[in-house]
Amino acid sequence: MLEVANLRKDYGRLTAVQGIRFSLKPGDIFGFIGSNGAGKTTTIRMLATLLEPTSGTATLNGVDILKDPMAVRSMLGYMPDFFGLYDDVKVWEYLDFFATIYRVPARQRNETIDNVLELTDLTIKKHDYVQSLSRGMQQRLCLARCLVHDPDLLLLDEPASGLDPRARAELKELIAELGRMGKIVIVSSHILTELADFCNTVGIMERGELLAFGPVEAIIKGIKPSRTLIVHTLSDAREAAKLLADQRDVGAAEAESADLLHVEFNGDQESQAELLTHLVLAGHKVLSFREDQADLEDVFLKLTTGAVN
Amino acid sequence: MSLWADLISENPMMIEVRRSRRRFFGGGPKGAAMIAVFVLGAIGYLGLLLLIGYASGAFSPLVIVMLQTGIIALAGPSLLNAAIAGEREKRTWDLLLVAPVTRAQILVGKFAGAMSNLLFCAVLFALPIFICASGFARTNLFALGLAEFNSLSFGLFVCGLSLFFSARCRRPFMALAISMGLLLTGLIIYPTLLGGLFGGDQLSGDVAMLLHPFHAQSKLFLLERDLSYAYGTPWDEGYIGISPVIFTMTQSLVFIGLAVVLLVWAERTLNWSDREVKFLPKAPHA
Repeated sequence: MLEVANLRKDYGRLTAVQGIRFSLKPGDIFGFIGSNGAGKTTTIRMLATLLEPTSGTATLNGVDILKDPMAVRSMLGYMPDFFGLYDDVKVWEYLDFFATIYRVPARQRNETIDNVLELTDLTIKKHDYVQSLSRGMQQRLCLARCLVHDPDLLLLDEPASGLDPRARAELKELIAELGRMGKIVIVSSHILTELADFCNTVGIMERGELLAFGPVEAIIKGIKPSRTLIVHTLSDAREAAKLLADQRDVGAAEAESADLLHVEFNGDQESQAELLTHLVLAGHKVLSFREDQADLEDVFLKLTTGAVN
Repeated sequence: MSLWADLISENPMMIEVRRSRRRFFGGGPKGAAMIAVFVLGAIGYLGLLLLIGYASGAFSPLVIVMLQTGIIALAGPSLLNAAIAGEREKRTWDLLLVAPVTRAQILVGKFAGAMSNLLFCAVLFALPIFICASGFARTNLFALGLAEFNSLSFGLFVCGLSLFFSARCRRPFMALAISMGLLLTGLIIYPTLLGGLFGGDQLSGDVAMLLHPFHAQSKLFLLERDLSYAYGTPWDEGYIGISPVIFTMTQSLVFIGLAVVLLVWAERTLNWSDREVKFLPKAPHA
């Protein structure tokens, strides 16, 4: 369990993080969203015990990051935005080094290395030099390094930056797997659509402030309580709009063009189906009937102003 | 946990000893360059053995110890310039800082890694020293032991100095340049300038050269000539200057002390997060 309480970081007169608070439970994959300079990396670095908060604190499994940073470090894996690798060593040597400094017992070390290599799909590269790996593989190796001591919390700062689509998809699947393994994963990213795919919780940050926090659907619903239905007909859209405007749960119905109409709708899925039935029974030829779903990008753009510290 | 256990026996960063050995003997992407260095080193080493064998009895073993000290002066900064600065340059420094190890453990691990290589160098030099000592008529084992102790304590100091600057710099090359520059100044430029100044005044020369290992080791040649100089004082008849034994011992202990001071200083002033500095707002213009 990670609990962040009033975490704040000031640099002189500049406040990078303004007393944010949230909590995450095992299995949560938390997407940290924000523009450059919003305070995501500073927050992650404070949680990683690299930066001392100006005030506030966080606890991981009840251990305070300020009071016992050493104990916290052995429970977390941190992957910085620019992952550093020793290029003159082999993959297994790299992992062996970190397994040693994380005090993985010597007897278990080989097995642990094999396990994390298998999890990150790097087993065949075990004896290759790190610098010979592709960027995607190096990213996965960096993630493997975070896993050698079986941490409870993973802090991944922009893990998908610079990766090609295939490598991003593989990384996404890997992160989802880590969530299924019961780890708390905090991922910061600019690629919002990808975060929505595998994060069950998101936080939107701007100028050091956590503007929104919670499950993706709840946040979307929070900024847009009604849904918009888009109806494409082969008949007159204005007639269809008139017909729908009087129906239950319909806020407004407007014809956008001769064959397209937008319907503001507040009902549940059953009444949505009834609406379609009503339209068809009235003799309208419906080509498509779909919900215009707001996504994380819409939420992000609506909540933030683009201002940075 | 005791200091010994914390820093040495249970310090996971001691893996640096194995890692630095692997770096030099394990091949790898820089293998060709390392092989070239080894071939040159081996040629030099064999040349030294041949020279000693050919001119058996002509060399004091102290000359070889001085040669070893010179190699240490060159090798120390080369081994340690990237110890911390290199981690910063490769952006791996944060990965060490988030590991459950203290700054002191990191520094001691790095230091031990370099020292293990210098000890390996000292072991290599043991053979030519032994050949020289057995062939040379006036070999003084006491002087030889003192010289070796002085040479290794100088190695500790050089490693401490190099690690200190590596901890302070962001670029390994900068750390190397500063360490090498200081050693060059201290070992060559400074004594050259002072040589003319003091002329034959042994005592003033001794004081000025208190931290010069070659000066200490060259004084030990006196012991090979006459052991009565060993505990002589500046006021002894026939020898005006600090006794070779006292001088060398003092210098060696100062080297060890300085190495400890530099390590502690490096640990105390090690930046936990370099990037923090970048966020500091500039002072407003007056």
